[in-house]
Amino acid sequence: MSNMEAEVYITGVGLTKIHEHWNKSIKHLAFEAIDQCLKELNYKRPDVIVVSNALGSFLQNQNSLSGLIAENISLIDIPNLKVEVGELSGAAALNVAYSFIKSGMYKNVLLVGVEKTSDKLPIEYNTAIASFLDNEYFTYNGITPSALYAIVYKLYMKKFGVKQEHIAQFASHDHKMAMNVDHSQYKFPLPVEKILSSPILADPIRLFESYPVSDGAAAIMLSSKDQVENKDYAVKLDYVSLSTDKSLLYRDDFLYFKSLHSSFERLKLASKIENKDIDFIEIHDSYTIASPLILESMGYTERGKGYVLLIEGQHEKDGVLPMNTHGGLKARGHPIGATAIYQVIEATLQLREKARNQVPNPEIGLVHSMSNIADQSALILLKR
Amino acid sequence: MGSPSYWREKVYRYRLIAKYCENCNKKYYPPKLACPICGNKELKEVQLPRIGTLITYTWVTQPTKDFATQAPYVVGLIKLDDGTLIVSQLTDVEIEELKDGIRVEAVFRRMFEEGDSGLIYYGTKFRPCLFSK
Repeated sequence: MSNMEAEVYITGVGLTKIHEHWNKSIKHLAFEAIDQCLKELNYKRPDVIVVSNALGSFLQNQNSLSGLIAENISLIDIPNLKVEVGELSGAAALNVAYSFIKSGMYKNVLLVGVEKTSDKLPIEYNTAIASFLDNEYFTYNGITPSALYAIVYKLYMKKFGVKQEHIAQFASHDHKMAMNVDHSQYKFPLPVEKILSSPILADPIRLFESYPVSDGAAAIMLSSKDQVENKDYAVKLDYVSLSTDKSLLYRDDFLYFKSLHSSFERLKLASKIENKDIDFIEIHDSYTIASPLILESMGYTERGKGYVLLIEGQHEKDGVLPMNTHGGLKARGHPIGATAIYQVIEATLQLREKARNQVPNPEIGLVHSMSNIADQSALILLKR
Repeated sequence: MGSPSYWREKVYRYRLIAKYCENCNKKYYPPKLACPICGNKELKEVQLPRIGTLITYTWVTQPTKDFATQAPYVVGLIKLDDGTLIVSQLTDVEIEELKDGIRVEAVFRRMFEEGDSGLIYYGTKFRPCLFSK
């Protein structure tokens, strides 16, 4: 990035607890998160509202969502828009918001991610989630995202001789981290034995190796440098890197996230950092098997050894690479279009040194997001 | 789903028609409009072999609405005899009979129905080869 471009800061954050919010609508959730975020900024007015939402057109039969959310909180007279890129929606919306400030077009961008998944029966939710795949050939044939991850899981265990009890521990890790986090959905320990005896989702994936049905909204204000008022709280949004891969079936290697590898290489080059400079990471672990694949594709461990750092305790808050310090997708929850915004807020809390599972003296944090099986990957680099 | 989208795709679904890139010597199924490797738009339609080897499989317990009454059902990753990979439902088989590496063949099957009076949607599933092939 050249010096000509504006620097981007996160100046305010707001979020709701992740939960099955039976008594709150999608608009209500967004309202609460935005209100909390703007309150931190003494109700400073944004120049534009960017909404991230993946399933509202499916589960709430609601389009034009960004306009409704803006009008509902009386942010009229300014533009609004919605971004949808499946599970990557939040990161893609953030990329739009980041570009608005980088380009100098706007000075304060309000970004809100919201998802309300508990409005319909579970089968409607499964149908909505399956819409992230190519409808004409995957969904038509009854192929679901969990079926594809199950195939990847089996191939991984077979190729590298890794046992399921090793991989399932990533879910236990998430639960352990979420226990003292106010906004997390699940605050109870989840031992590996309990995971492996839970019902089968898509063999070998057990129900407790996957994310829950989550409702939630999270909002952040992105601002240009001249708009930063509270320097102790502002966190720099240093770089956003997105990359796409071929659909799973066209890949030579099912067990390597090429889109993640290339977006990480680009980020390291642009920000002049190396793996060891990252003080903590928030990853998109929609299924336990995703975690080792993410760590291996980023070069943190050798292929087939993605669980080793976990077993060594290196993903704890004082380890070499603290990971999912607020519970990850499994225990914090996965309100699809809002998830990446929650991750960014969690990273912001770490860099403000206000996190519950505080990493000692963090300087650089990384947020990872993806759609499907790394069909697209996003990395968001934050600095103190 | 409406009938135009069904008619449009049926030849690809029934006959396993893939797109072939001569530059890269690669076949793509589901069919693509351009080669994801070299960008070639002059892809040829080719019929895939209807027989292959099951690489691995899973079963789905949380289906979409269309398959609500069929779960649990088996989904397999299959390497067709020309090397093309395909993900498909497996049929006419008990889960206990399945193992990685068995030979499977394509069969024409009903996929799902649109209510009591709507369209019936067909496609391809795979089953263990009836005779050793």
